[in-house]
Amino acid sequence: MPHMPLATLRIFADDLGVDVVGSLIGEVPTKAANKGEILSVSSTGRPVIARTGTWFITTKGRPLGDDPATHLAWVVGLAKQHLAAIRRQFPAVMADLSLLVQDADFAPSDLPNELLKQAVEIGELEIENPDNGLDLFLNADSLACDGRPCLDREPTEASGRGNQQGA
Amino acid sequence: MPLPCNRPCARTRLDRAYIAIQLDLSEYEVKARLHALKRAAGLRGDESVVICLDDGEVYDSLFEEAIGNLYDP
Repeated sequence: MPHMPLATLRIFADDLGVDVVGSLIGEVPTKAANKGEILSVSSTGRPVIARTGTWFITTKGRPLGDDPATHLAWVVGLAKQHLAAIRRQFPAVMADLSLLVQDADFAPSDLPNELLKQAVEIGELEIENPDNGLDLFLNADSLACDGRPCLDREPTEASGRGNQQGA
Repeated sequence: MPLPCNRPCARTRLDRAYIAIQLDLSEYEVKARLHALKRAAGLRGDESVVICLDDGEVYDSLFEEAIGNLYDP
């Protein structure tokens, strides 16, 4: 049985006001803090300081089933719905997304084309599939193969890259 | 700068199974929590972190800042 996928959305800017973002989005973030404030307190009691204004949410614990596309679609939908309004308040705001899939049978090319396109319109998308040693970074430029990530070619800087390093 | 933990670990993906055993977590939990910690901190998957095997604390690769803890729910 595959493990539950995890998708994340990070909205960030140095001048980001996370209370404003929270009120616009209407979801409780997993973590949120203005720049320089405490993003979280770890289990050891050590504070984690936000290097930039950060509003971060994941699909952990949400009843989205085990389809990776559903998890990615949830964060994409959240960003698509609210990013324009957030950008009106904070013009420098940026966003990025990720999808972690712990399933050896998963292939990023199985994700719907339109969903990938929508995701990279929001910001860089990392797709991590550790069971296959895969860690892809996709952006609008790397979706050049007729809207599909160039996954059938050797990974390059432009098309994302396999990654064996990094804990 | 002195190490903030007695038993640092990390570096490669292969270490995650070892980390899981040392911290008495499942490998699935280690991967999911590490992924979320790094993404929240603005780190990409290819950016290394250092994990303290004595308390689960996770630092950026330069030991400059804690980014969270693998025991955090």
